[in-house]
Amino acid sequence: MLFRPDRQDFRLIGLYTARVIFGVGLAMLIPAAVAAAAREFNELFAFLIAASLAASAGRAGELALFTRAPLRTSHGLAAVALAWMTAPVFAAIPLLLSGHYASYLDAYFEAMSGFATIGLTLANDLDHMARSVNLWRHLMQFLGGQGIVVIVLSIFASGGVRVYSLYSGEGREEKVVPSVIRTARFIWRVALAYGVIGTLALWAALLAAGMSPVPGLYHAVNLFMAAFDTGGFAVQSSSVAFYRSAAVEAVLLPLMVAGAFSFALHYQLWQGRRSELYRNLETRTITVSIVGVLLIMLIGLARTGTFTELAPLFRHGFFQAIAAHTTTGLATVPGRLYVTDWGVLAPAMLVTAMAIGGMAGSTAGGIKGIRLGLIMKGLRRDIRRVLLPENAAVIETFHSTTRRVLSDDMVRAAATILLLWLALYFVGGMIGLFYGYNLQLALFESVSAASSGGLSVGLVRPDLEWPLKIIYIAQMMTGRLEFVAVFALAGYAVSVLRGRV
Amino acid sequence: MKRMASVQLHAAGPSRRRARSERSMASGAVTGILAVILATAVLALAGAIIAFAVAMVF
Repeated sequence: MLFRPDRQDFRLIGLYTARVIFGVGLAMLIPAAVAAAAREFNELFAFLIAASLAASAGRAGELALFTRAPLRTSHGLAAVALAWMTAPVFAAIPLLLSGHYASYLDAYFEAMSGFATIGLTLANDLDHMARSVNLWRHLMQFLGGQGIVVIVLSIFASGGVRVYSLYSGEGREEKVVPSVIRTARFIWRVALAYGVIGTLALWAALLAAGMSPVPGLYHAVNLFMAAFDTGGFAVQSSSVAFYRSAAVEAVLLPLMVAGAFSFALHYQLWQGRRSELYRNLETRTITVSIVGVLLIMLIGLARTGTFTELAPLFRHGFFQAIAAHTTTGLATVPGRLYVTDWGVLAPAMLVTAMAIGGMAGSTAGGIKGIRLGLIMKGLRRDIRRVLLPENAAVIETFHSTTRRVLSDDMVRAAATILLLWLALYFVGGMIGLFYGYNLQLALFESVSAASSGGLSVGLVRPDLEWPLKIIYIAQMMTGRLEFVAVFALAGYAVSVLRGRV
Repeated sequence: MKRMASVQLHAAGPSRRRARSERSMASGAVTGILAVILATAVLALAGAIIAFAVAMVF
């Protein structure tokens, strides 16, 4: 059966995209208010112009495309992808007008990096950026991070087993709580709880580090959004290293871990089911992966002689391993040092950690723990099948909220998504090689962009070749939406090109 | 009097349930956040042991 969408389908996709754009316009009023309070009048006008454009375009789209037709899953998926492409178009306007970006493409790159919670930046002279513009960078991460979780757990999951298996590699639906509204409400409740506690703890740590109260609060709010939404933008160009504070780093660590936890796991823990923490297949997989990455990374650092004392070896090694594995991308050392001072093994482990990423249904990116866990379980089951007599029934089970029996479909779906991820990393790496960068740099930056890792070895900079900027933008979006939504939008686009409308 | 008491009890029902639900949500939040801190602390402990062992060997 051929896929033949009609005009009504496109109206629905356009309508929901228009609503998202209207929302982006409204969100810009927050940095506009900060600009007014901080007497940054140029930035205030820039935000008002961009907010007016986004809100007008969004409202006009809503009025022109309004329909009462029901939203199907394929509409929702295509609308998500289209919204993720068009939201940065408007969000980039105040960035461009701030004068910190060399071109509109750079500003669009930054906005995509924000909404996709990547953390790669093309900003010039970040240390002198207006407070309102810097807040907008971090706010985009918060909106994008929380938004993607709501989308994954409501639209993707409501699409039934087929869509969710495409997303998570598991042949099951995963709704945190039964209704979309209650799911969204729980997600925002968790964010609010961590927001209040995390911001206060960061503020206290920054005050202890010698910062004044008002700038301290400003940095704390931004750092919270960067850490909890596994974003990785920072207020200063030297990232977390700017603060030179172990207390700040200690507060950021659990926030990054919380961001990489799936909201299904948060829900279980908030229901008092603490055993889920050590019984869940995904937490076990991620824990083993973090410990493995850390072990090899620290061996690499020790052999290279990067840190001669135990304390900095642990402090920087552990922070960077967690920042990479949770795909946050905050840094306690300048990125260039990964190439010049960290040898080969440690950066390779950072790439591995970013590539694996956090948990499905969290703000983290990457392949995701559940997929690796399912593939390892499948491998174990196959080895047992080989070793045991032919007539033996080999059943492999795993724990994810409840005890489940591993099926061939689950392993196949997880392996398919894993291959797509590896292909995405590979394509970006190859194009980097085409532009003459060595394998280490090209692969590091490609994995960082696609996995939403955000750590950089310095290849992403304003004078980067423009085709590579576009490739990284495409990688950021595809990785953030985890293929399924992008495939849905591509399906609609192909049907238009083939005249099947 | 009986009817009044019944009305009052009925009126208090949902708010009591809400209060109980909010209490359980607050204690759930504490459990959830403590679990995240505990998980980070366990990872940090593992990291410290690995760092110590690596520093000893190399």
